[in-house]
Parts: sequence; structure tokens; C-alpha cells
Amino acid sequence: MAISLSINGEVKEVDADPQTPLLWVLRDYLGMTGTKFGCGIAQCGACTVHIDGAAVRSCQYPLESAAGSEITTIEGLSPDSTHPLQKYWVEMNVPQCGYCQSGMLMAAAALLQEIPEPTDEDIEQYVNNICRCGTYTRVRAAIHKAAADMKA
Amino acid sequence: MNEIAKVTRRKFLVSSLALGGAMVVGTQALAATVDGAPWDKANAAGSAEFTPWLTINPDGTVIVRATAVDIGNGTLTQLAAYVYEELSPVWENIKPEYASTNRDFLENNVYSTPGGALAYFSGRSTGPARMDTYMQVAASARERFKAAAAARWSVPAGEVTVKDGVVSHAGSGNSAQLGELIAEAAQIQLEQEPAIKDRSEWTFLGKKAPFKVQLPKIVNGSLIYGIDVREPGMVYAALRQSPVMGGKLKSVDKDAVMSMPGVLAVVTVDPGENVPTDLKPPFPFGVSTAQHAVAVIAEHYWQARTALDALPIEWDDGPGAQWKTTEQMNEAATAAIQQPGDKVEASTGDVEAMFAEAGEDNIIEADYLTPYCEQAPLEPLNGTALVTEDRVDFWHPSQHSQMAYMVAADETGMPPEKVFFHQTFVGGGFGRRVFSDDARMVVAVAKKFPGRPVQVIWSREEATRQGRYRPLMAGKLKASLGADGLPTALLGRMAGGPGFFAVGMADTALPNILKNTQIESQTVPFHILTGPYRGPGYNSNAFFVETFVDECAIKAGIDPMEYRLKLYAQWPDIGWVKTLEEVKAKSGWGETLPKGQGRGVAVANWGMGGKPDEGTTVATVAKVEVSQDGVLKILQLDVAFDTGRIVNEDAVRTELEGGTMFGLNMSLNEGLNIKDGRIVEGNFDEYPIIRMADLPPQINVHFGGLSDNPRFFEIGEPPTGVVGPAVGNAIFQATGKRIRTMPFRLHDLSWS
Amino acid sequence: MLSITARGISVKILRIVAIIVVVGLVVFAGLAWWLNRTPSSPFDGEVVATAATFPVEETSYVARLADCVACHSLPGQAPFAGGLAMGSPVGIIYATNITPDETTGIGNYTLAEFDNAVRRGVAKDGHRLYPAMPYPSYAKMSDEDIRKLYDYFMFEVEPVAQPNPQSGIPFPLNQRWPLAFWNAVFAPGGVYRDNPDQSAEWNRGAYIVQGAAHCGSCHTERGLAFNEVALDESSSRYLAGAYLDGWYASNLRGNQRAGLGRWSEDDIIQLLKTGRNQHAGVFGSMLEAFNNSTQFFTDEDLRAVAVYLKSLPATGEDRPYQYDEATSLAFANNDLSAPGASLYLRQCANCHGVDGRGRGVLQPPLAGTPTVLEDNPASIINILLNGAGRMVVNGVPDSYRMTPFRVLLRDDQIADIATFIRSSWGNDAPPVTTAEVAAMREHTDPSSDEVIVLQMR
Ligand code: FES
Ligand code: FES
Repeated sequence: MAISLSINGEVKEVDADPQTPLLWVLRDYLGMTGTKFGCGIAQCGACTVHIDGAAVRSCQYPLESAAGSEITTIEGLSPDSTHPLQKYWVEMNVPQCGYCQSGMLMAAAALLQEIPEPTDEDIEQYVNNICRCGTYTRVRAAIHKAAADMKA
Repeated sequence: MNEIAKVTRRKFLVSSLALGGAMVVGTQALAATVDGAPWDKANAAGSAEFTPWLTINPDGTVIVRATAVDIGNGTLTQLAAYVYEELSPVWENIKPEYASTNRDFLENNVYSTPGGALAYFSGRSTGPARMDTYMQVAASARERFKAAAAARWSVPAGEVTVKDGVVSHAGSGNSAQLGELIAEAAQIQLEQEPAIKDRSEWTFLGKKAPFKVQLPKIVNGSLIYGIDVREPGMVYAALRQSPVMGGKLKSVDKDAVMSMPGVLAVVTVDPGENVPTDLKPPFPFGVSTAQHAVAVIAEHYWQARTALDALPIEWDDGPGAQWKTTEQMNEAATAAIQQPGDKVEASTGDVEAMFAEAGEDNIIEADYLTPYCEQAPLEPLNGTALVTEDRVDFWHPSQHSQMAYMVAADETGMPPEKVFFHQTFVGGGFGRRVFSDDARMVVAVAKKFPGRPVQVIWSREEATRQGRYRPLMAGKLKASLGADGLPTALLGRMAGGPGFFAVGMADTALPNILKNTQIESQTVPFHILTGPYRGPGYNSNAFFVETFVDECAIKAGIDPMEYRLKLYAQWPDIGWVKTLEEVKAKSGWGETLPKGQGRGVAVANWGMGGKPDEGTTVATVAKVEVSQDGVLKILQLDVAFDTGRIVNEDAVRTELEGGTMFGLNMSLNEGLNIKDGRIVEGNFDEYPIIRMADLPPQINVHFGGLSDNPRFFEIGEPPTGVVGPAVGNAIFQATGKRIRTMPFRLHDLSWS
Repeated sequence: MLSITARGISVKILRIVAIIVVVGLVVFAGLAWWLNRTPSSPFDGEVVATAATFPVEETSYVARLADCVACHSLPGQAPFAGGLAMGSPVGIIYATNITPDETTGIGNYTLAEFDNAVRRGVAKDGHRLYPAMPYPSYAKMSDEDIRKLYDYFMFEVEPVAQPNPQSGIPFPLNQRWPLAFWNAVFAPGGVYRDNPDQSAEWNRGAYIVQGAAHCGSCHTERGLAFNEVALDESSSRYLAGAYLDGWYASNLRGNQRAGLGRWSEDDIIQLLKTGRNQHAGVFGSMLEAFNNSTQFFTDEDLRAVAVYLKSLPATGEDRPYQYDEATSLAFANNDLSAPGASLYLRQCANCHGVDGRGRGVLQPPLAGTPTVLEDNPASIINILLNGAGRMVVNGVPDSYRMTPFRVLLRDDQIADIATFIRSSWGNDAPPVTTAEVAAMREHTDPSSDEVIVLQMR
């Protein structure tokens, strides 16, 4: 039974068990590998995507519940990597291995929509992702810079 | 290192005539960064290969063949920087690619000779040997361009310059793009290889480096990690290995799941089936041995995973099951350090005599313990292999391409020339992906389902429970203190393992300062498998030694910072005192703190091998706060280091930040438990990883500790060993409670 | 220490049994002989059958209804070989080997002896079973179902020679004969009799719920002597909810707030058949009852059970539940000032939603959920600490399991989250204290992330 999803503005048909976690629908059925698998239990945040604008962890988000919502993945964060977060992520050498960073970026982008000028505490609340390489301090700094830009 | 340099020079000449296909000037836009899948690329049409290490395309793209893996430490960027310093192409035109292990095998180790066993290793990947090699490659290419231009314009080669991708001759006003001259330049044979630039002549290295070349692809999700490989016809496998290491498969009811959606096969892996080859891998094949395993193969991963969970499997646990609890193992390790160890790591003077002479009051002794820890790279173990009659293709996020390549050949029995290893990007390593047991398991599963690419993915639980862990280690330290409060003799013992890393107990400064030292070790035959973990051995021993030094300072009634300054002033490597002075000045050491707060310091060296002016020394000061009911908060971290000199300030800063956070998590949170021989913890709910909220807003990295000694060494591992003892020593200052075992979260820190 | 499993006998209750036993010893010794005669069974004197008389589908179905496997089998071991340990301060009790093995099992039981064990709590050798065995409920099973059950264990189950471990209960508490008094008082016995005023469906439901399925063993409060205070709908305390072994088995009556008042018959059927419905998902001991028993009920029986349960009126103090937007609005305004709100946002909201409504049926709501609204906080504390086991629906393991937080969160943090949940979206249950969480942590173990399927054959 095919389920249709709206991802990054495109409608895609998926023929998968409706209980399949959205993460695997994206990565495996649709070949959109920018969204990462880290834990599968909504702890690490590597699989973070936006559903109707809110950051959610797609490894614990059933396909059937995603139908009919607007899904945005890292591939759709900006058409040409020009989102201020993407810009500063590169400029400030934020990523190390980079594996957690799709999730970090998606969580940070949702935060800036909610709270345009986040405090350190806001960032800790809304960007509660795991980075095993330890890029936290740079992530925090880059979010502040991007926020300043977006305000200007 | 000179040895290596000589060899490499010869290699350049051997292949200096190699040339790409017919001359066609490329027209497509230049790639500004590394490819998302930078492996096994043939030379582009019309390109010229100056050496197997360096190919230049007609469009001016400079292909740098990287032997070492980039696991996020910036290897690709740094190798590109070495080339840039000598050749001066347009930076954006430099395009690193991974050097083929298959070609290395066919062409007489053209890539792996410099660097030897560590050639394809992610660690030490940008060290002095590699720097010289890549700079030599680039310098000789530059001279060949100059000679070619000189011939074309009939001007003296000495007057030709190469800058920002343009070859020019001021006198005649002639100029040309690098790409225009490749055919002629590649034909040139130099009478002699040019000398590479001296540090004093550097215009690029040592300055703040450009961002890592792969970042633009990371931020839009297009970088290809091992788990992102998507080959035509690919299927997925979910894996379960014997829950007790060393156990055997008793039975599996395949039929129970064969009718589940998408399921294609249920295959088993039996290490006994492997027919050993006579290949010579960088590390002995033994470290890559597979466990008994069952895998479900399906069209889609979640189908495979679900079917695996539903699959009835019976295991024969084997002898490992005798280890019923963690406590039982801790006791075994602790008991072992009460006896003389069977291996003497170092012995000078007469320790027992000194102890007797000093008398009870001046003796201090303590036992310490560190548990099994899992590297837990965020990209779970995985790999994709296609095994057919006549070739093997293997896509894998390895930390040692050559080891994984050899393992694939060994596991399949396919001649190495027919094995094609594709090094993908890597979602973190920390030592977990070096020994290539993961590579062997992937190939062992895939060969049971030949003809289609099989991507094997470990669940996080499987990865955590089937690790190659930082060994469980108990440590005993005993010293006699002299009139000045400093140690006069030292007894050190460590026990645990198996697969033991003694680094950091015998070969660090303390035992080498003292005239009387006895360091012993003892392996305890646990069934748990171990392997390298960021700063192997050192990450436990630095905790033992630097906590013990702190205890000595307290017993002597001397400020722990002053105590260390006095103690390590006796060590000929000034880096130790310099880094301590730096953190002392920058951390606000000595300023009085409110009750419940404390500062602690630790200093250690990774890689010195018992010698001064070697390796990297790191000193860390931690400022912590412990609430009365025992909740710990890290308020400030100051890190100073000495690796002699540096070539990339920001890369160094990044590694020190990351290594410090890694060591912090190791000390506060990490520790695996054993029940009936099995590893208990499965996922991040049971094996906590530090989050942004657990850290101070920044980690202060200070450069004032650099000694300017003519060396540079690893940076990623050294910080992991010192942050733990620094925090532990700070906790003592805040609460009066001495922490001798990891992880700290298991200690009751409440005070009144 | 051996911590109490979800299926064990609760500490408190065992202690009380102990007291009763001692008292029994002293006072009623005289009556002992009389009461300890082997009771009579309708099957007395029947010749021992040598082959199954009913098809296995029918006999195994009765075993499913009675959920024998839950206590008499251990994961990864031979079915019905016994061995489940039930911890208690007076010692450990083990569920016994009920395979047809002659020496260690029940292979040489006649139908009558089997009947006495199942419906009257008396073993072949005359010793009295601990009332952990729900024979007061099984007493209501029909003669035919007992024949089928006997058939199943004698002819469909593999004999396994596995000696029963000695119960770790010291003298004099290990004396079984005084339990006969208990039986005399609390196990009236007697097969279920249809209520002529009710439909056949209702009666079938009552028969299953009160008898084989022994729902009351968990969902009905126990008296001083571990006796269920009611065994049928004649009492308003029947199935009104009860605390047992770290879980609060919820009210199954018509209560609006913490009962099934807001559930339809179809909701009840969906939960028992698929483990989930729009209101809740199974966890704790119910997850095992679901995995091993209720999902195998026929649709007719599920309907009957639902009809019967919906016929039980609300009891005690009750009030309607009304959803309240306030919490969702606070989150929408990034107001995390309420204690536990920020922890909820980081650890719970991804699956249960900032609106507390959960997601579809796979991730249950917390707004208005009976187990959340129950005054006794045992279940919400336990599941926050230890998570849920893996649900297995038609042999397919579940992809959405509740995470255990005992390692990630401190007692005070779990208390904050529980209190936040119990006071948000219109929920109005009393707060949870750090001490309550600490106590629960002491006595429980985390649930396993690995799939546990108890095989029946
Ligand atoms: S993979 Fe979804 S949170 Fe870790
Ligand atoms: S950059 Fe490697 S996990 Fe975050």
C-alpha cells in the first residue's frame, strides 16, 4: 500500500509498512541519506528532520504519522547551502567527522525559527543532540553568529 | 623519516612518465571541494599523473592521492595544504582522493611504503613523515612545470615562477595556466629532486588553515559515509553476534522469519570456516577475528531488523559466561595488582629498600580502576560488500584502508588484485575501526549472499555489546615521600585486559625522573575483546598517575600545582613545566573559591615513549562545582599543550576541544557492565554521552605551552588522559572526596 | 539482591501471608487434619487417558486463556519446565515444572489430581499450593476446559526432567498445611454459573475474565491475607484497580477518570488484540499478558470480554476528564518554567508530543490516560525508570518501545517529569516525590530491549 509524503516540497510515493520509522523510509526507500542513523531510540538526534516546521527525531516517527505533513530534511534546508547556519558551520570549521551535523543543523534551524535570538540556555534546550567528536562549543558559537546575521 | 623520504623520491622517478589518455581540455566547472565519494577514481581523460600521488587535470584540478583516512581530523585538508605550500595551485582546485589499496598492492606498495604499517591509518596521518612526502611530491611537480615552461618559452627555468595556478616568466611576459602545461611537464625528468621548503620559508602552513575540504558536503548532507553507500541492487543485513564473546551458535530457526516481508535469506557466520591466507596485513589478522553470528538479509533494512528481532536463536555461551558480574571482574583485576605482576615494564634502583628506609608515615599507596569503555562512534559499524565469482567490491568506513582491504581478501580468498576497496567517509572512529573485525564481518556475511551488494548495519545495541573495548584496568601506585614531600621511589602495577595497553605508566615522566622505580603489569584472562580507544592505555594510566600525584601533594601539604611544577622541573622536557605555567596563569589558579567549588590540575604526555621532547604534553585545569546533594557541574576547562611546533592552529584547537570532551565523557559517564558474560548496556539510554548542557560555554585552549622543539605529533589523543584526573582532583578540592574509579557518575559526591 | 520481577509476589503481601501462616499454626492446629484431606473432584476414579481426546487447537487455546506460560516458563528455556523465581523477604518461591515428566513434572497426575491442583490448589501429594497460583479464579473454569487443559499438558507438551528448586522459605513459614485454612476461607470454589439475566456473550465474558484469564489476580485489590477482596461483579471493588509488584493494575470499571469509562468496546478489543488503542498501550505485567495470552483470544471472546467489562459500573470517587490547552500553549510560547517541562521537552515530547496526545496508536497519549491519572503513581514511576519491554504482535516485534531513563535521569528529575505529566493537559493526579522514585528504583530492574517470546510448545 503506497503512502505519499511531501518532502522538501516534492511529493514522493512510498510502498512500505506504515509502521516503518520515517528515518528508514528516507534513507533506504527514498535514498535520501543526508538524514543519519545514530541510535534509533530518539536519543542522539542524528536523524532530526522538520515536520510541519518542528524538529523531530525521525527514527521514532512512524511513516503513517508523517503522511500529510510537510517534511524538510537536510537536503532541503536551503537550495544551495546558503542558510546562515550552513555558512557559519563551514566558516567556523564546526564539524569534525560531520556525522551528527545534519541533525545538529536541523535542530538549530528549528530553534532559530522558534527563538530568533536564543540564549545559551535556549540552545541547550533545543539542540540536545549527541556529538561524539565534541563539536558542542563550536555549534553553540555558530548558532549565535547565524542568529545575529538573520536578525540583521 | 629520511629513510621514507629517500624511498618516496625513488618512487616518483619510477612512475614519472605515466600519462593520462589523449589530450582533451576539460570544460566542466571546477569542483571547489573534495568529492562526496572520493575513492578509486581513474585519471580523467587528458590528465597527467606526475606520480601516483599527484595527478593534474587539463582544467587545472590537482588530484592529491591521500593514503591516510580522514575521520574528521582534517587529514585530506592538511595533505592538500602540504601540496599547496610547494606547488601553489588555486586552493579550490585541489581535490584530494583516497589512494587505491589495490593499486598499492599491484605497484609494489607505492603508497604504503612511506609510513609502513601505519600508511593507511587514520592516526599520525599528517605527521612529519607525510608532510615531507607530500611537500616533496608537490615541489618536484613545481620544478617540472618550471622546466616545461622554460622549454616552451625558451627562457631560463630559474626565472619561471608558479603562483596561484599560473606559471609565468616576468621577463618575457609569458604566462600559462597549470592545466595548459601538464603534458609537457609530466614528461620532464629532473636531474635531482628539489629540496622542500624550510619552515622559515612557509607562506601558508602554520597560519590559520582554510575550512576542511569536505565541509560544504557535510552541511547539505551529500557527503557519503559508509552507511550512505547505495549501490544498484543493494540489499540490507541486520546482524546478531554471540551475546557472550567467544560463544557459539547452537541453533537458529530460519523458517520462522523467511515469510516475513522483504526477507531474502538468513545466513550464519562461523569463524571456523575461514581459510587463512598468507597475506601480510599491517596488523596480524588475529585482531580481526569474527565472532559467531547470524544475519537476516532483506530488501530493506527495517525489514531485516524486524525479522532479526523475531528470529529464534539459541547460543552456546561458552566459558565467558563464568564472569557473572562486573564486581567479580573488578575484584579479579584488583586482586591481581596485590601480587607482583608477571611482566616488568620498568625497573631501576631498589624500591623496596627505599620504602623500608622511608618508614610507614612517609609511604602513600592507592588502588584505582577504570572499566571497559566503548568508542561509540556516532556512525554505527557498517559496510557494503559485493562478492562475485571473479571480484570483490567493498565500500567501508575504515580507519585503516589497507587492513580492511587485506581482511576482505583473506575472508573471501579472492586474490588481492581482484579485491577493490572503496574507502568512504567515516562517522567517527576513536580506534573502533582500526582492527577491521567489522570489515571481516561485513564480508563474511556478504559472501554468503553473492551477486548482490549487501549492506550490513549493526544496530546501536549490537555495536555497543560487540565492541573491541578500552580494557578494564586496575592500577596500584605506591610511593615513599622525601623530606621535601616529593616522591623518592615508586611502585606501579596495572592489571586487567585482555589485550593490554601499558602506555602511560612506565613511559611517562614520573617513573623516569625517579632513581628508584618498579613498574609491573599483569594480564587477566577475561573473555571480553579489547582494542584501541582514543589514547590506548594512556587514558587509564594518566588517570592513575595524575590522581596519585595529587594524593602525594595533599599528603605533603603542598599546593597540587606547585607540587607538579617542582616535580616535573626535574624532567628534561621543558614542555611539562611550560604547559603547567600556562594553565596556572590562564585558569585563575589560586583564586579562592566558594564552598562546594574546586580546581584540579593534571599533566601527562601521549607518545613520548619514556623520552623527553617527544609526543604531545597536555596540562588541563578543571574548575567544578558540586552541590550539597552531589550534583557535579563543570564550570571551566583550561587546556595547554606542547607538541613542539604546530602546522595548523585551528586543526590543533579542534582536536584539543574534541579530545577534552571525549576524555570528560569517558571519566564522568562511561563504563560497561557484565552480566553472565554479556555486556549489559545497549544504547545511549544506558551508555550516556555528554551533551551541550553538560559543558561550559567554551573550552579554553592555550598555545603558550609550546616549546618550539622541532617536532609535531598527534593532538587528538593527548587531551583524553588529563581531563579526567583534573576533574577528579577538583572534586576532591570541592568535597574532600577522592575519586579513584571511573565513571565518576557512580560516586556519591554529596557533602555537608 | 534478587529484585522482584513484575510477575513475582509482592513483598508486602508475602509478609502478610507469612503472618497468617504463623497464626494459623498456633490457633487452628486442630482443624488442620480435617481440612487437609484431599478434596474430591468430579473426575475421581476416571481411568487415565492414554491419548488426547480434543484437537490441539482447542486444548492449547485454554492454556492461552489461562496464560499458564507466563509463570511456568522462562525465556530461552523449555516450555512449562517452571523455574520463575518470585522474590520475597521470607524467601523465594518458584513456579513448578508442569511438563508431563513422570518424576519432576506432573506426568503421573490423574485428571482428578490435576483438577485438584488447578481448581483447588492441592498438589498430588496433598500439599497446599501457595496462592500465587490463581486457583481461586481457575476454580471457575468448566469441567470441559479442565479436561482440555489436562489434555494439553499430558499430550502436547514435551516432558522435561527439571527438578523444582526448593523454595527458600525457612521453617516454620515453609509449612504448607495451614494454607488449607486460607483455602477454606478465601477460595470458595465452584464452577462459574451463568447469570440468566445476562446475554450469552456477557456470560462468556464473565467466565473468561473471572476464570481462566484471572484478571482479578492483578486488577482486584487484595485483602490482608493476599486474598482478592472480590471474585466477581457482585462487589464494587472487583477489578477496581490494585497495586502489585511495582505496577498499578488499572481500574477496569466504568470510571471516567482512571477507568475504562471513556473507552468503547472496540477500544478494549483493540488493546487486547494489538496491544494499543487511541488511549493507551500495554506495558509492565500487562505487556506479558498481552504477548502471551490476550492477543490469541478469538474475536468472539474478545468481544465478550469487552461487553462484560463495559457492564461494570464506575466505583468510588470519580470525575470526568477534560483536555486543557494550557500546557500546549505554554510550550508554543517556549515557556518551560513549570518544573519538569524542559526535561519533558528534551526526553518525552518527541514521541508523546508537546500536546500530550501521542502520535497515532504507536506512541500513546499521556493526556487523560488512565494509568497517568491513577492516584497511585507506581506505574508512571516504574515505566519512566525502567521503560517497557518489547511488544510482539503476531510474531512481529514492535519498533516503538518506551525508553528506560534510570541511567539518564536522577530520582528528582524523574519525579519532576512524572509530576509534570500528571498535572498537564487537564491531568490532575497528585504529585510524585523523589522518595517514591528512589524506593521504586531500589526494588526494580530495567526492562530488556531484547524480544522475549515464551514458546508454548
Ligand atoms: S537515530 Fe534518531 S535520535 Fe538517534
Ligand atoms: S562531528 Fe562527529 S559526531 Fe559530531
